[in-house]
Amino acid sequence: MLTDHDLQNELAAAFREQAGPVTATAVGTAGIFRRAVRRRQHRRVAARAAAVTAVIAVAAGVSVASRTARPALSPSDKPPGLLLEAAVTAAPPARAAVSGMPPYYVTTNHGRPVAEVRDSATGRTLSTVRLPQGIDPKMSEITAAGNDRTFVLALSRFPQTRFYLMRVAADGRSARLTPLSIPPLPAGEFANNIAVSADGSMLAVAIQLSGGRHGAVEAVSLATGAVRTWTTARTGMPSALSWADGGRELGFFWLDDGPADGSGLTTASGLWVLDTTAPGSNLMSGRRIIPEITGVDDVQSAVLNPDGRTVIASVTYDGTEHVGRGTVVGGIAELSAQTGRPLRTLLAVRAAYSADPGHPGWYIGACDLTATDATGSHLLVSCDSFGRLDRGRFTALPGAAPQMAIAAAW
Amino acid sequence: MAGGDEAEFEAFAARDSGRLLGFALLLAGGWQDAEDLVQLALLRSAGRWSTARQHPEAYTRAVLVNLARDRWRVRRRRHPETLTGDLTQLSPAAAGDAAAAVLDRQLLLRACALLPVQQRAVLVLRFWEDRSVEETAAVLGCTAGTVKSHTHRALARLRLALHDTPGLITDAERKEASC
Repeated sequence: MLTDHDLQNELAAAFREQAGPVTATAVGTAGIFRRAVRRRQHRRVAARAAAVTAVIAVAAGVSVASRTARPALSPSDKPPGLLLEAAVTAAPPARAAVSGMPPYYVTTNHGRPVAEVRDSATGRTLSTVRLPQGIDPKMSEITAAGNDRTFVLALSRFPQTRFYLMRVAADGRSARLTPLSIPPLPAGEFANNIAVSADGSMLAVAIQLSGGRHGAVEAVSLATGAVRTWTTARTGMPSALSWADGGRELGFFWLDDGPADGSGLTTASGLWVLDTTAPGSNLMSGRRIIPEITGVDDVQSAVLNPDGRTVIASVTYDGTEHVGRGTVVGGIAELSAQTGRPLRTLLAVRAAYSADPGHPGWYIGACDLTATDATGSHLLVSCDSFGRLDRGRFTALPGAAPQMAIAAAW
Repeated sequence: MAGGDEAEFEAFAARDSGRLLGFALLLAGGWQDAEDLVQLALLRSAGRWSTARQHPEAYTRAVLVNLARDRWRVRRRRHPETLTGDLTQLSPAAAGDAAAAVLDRQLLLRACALLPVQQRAVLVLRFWEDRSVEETAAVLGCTAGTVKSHTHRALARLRLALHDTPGLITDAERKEASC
C-alpha cells in the first residue's frame, strides 16, 4: 500500500518525467508585449462603445430582466445526482431576500496584512484594521462571535497561532483588534477553521497537527480559557465547524485519510456531529450525518444550521451520465440533518459545454462555502464568483478573485 | 509604454517562460494546451505590466492557474485515446519492473489530469516545485487551509484512482470506499 510519502515521491517523479525536459524554446515570446498594448487600446475603445450602447438600450426602455431570470427546469435539466435533485429555490425579491442580512462582513486581504470590514450590500470596504506584525494573512481564520459586530480571528505568526477579538463600530467605519486571553495553539498546530457558539461563550478550533496526518477539535471557554480536546487515532483533518442546538452540538467536516495502512479508502469522511455534553475525548464518538460521497455526489463541505435540523452543503456532481447543457452539476443545497435527503437547492451551478479542441466536454464547477450567518439564511460563497447567497438569491461581491476561497465571516 | 518596459518584459519572458511552460504542461496535460496557456498568460501579464512587474513570475503563474481553470472540462467525455494507447504499450509483463514503474507514473499522471485544476495546481506546486503550504497559498491566492484541504483531497483521490484500476482493488474494498 502506498503511504502519503510514497505517493508524493511517485508524483514528484511522474512530474519530473513529464515536465523535466521542458525548455523555453517551445514558447514564442517575440512581439507579445506589443500585442498586449494593442489589445489594451482596443479594449478601451470597445468599453466606450459598450457604454454608449447601454445608454441607448436604457433610453429605449429595453428590459433585460426577462432574459436574466432563472430558467425553469425542463425534464432534460433534471440533475443526475442525488443531493441536488430538490427543486431550485425560487429567488425571492431582492428586498425580501436581504431581510435580516448582517450589515457587513469581515475578511482578510491576501495581499496586505489587514482585516477588512466590508459593506454586505455592495462589498465596499468600510474600514481596515492592521494585523499584528509578522502575521501571515493567508493563514487567518475568522468567525462571528455571538453578534454581527464582534468577531474572533485566529492569526498565525509562524510557528504559533494566537486568537484575537475584533470589535466593529455600529456603522462599520472603525474596528479594533485585541488579543484574547486564551492559550495560543502550540508550535506545530494550525487552525483549519474556528467557530464561536451562538451565546458567544465557546470557541471551537479545528486543528491540523504539523505533518498533516492527524487532526483534533478543541472547545475553548472564552471566559476562562479552559480547553477541552477531542482527538482520534484516524488520520485526516477536520474543518467547517458549526454549532447548533444552543451549543450542545458541534459539527465538523472530516476529510479522512483512510485506514493507517494507507489504502486511502475514505470511509469516515463527511459531516460529523459531536454532543459536547457527553463525556469522553474521542472525536469520532459522535455520529456522521452526511457522508462525503452520496451516490455520485461529492460533498465539498457542510455545516449544521443553528437549529440543528438542517445542513448547508456545497455539492458537486461526480458522475459520468446525463450531463448536458443546463444540467445542475453542483451548487449549494440544504439537506435534512436527520435523513441526509435534499430539501432545497439554494444555488445551482449548471454544466457548460466547451468546444476547446484540446479538452472538449462539459465544465463542472465547485463552490466554496465560506460563511453562514447566525440564522443560516445568509451565506458567503465562492462559486463562479464570490458573493452572498440570501435565501437562494446570489449577489456577486468584489474583493475576491473568481473561484478563490477566502477567509470571511459575518 | 516605455521601451524599457518592453525590454524588461522580454528579459523576464526569456528567463522564466521555460519554467512556466513546465508548470503549464503539468496543469494542462498536453503540449499544445500548455503552450497556448503560457502565450496567453504572458500576453495578460504584459497587458498589466505595471502591476505584474513587481513579481512577474508569480503574477503570470497565477494567471496561468486561472486560465487553466477556465479551460477545465470534465475529463470523462474526453477522448480516451492517448493514455490508453500508451498504457497498452507499457505493459509491465512485457517490459519488466522499470516499465511497471513508468506505468505507475502514467497512471498517476492520468489520475492527476482528472483532478480539478486547483487541486492539480496545488500538487504541482507542492511536489514538483517543492513549495511549502504557505508559498503555495501565496501563488494561488488562497488560504493555507485551502491548500491543505486541496492536497488532502487530491492525494485521497489519487489513491482511490490507483485502487480503482482493475486488479488492484477487491470488490469488498471498493464497496467500503463508497460507504
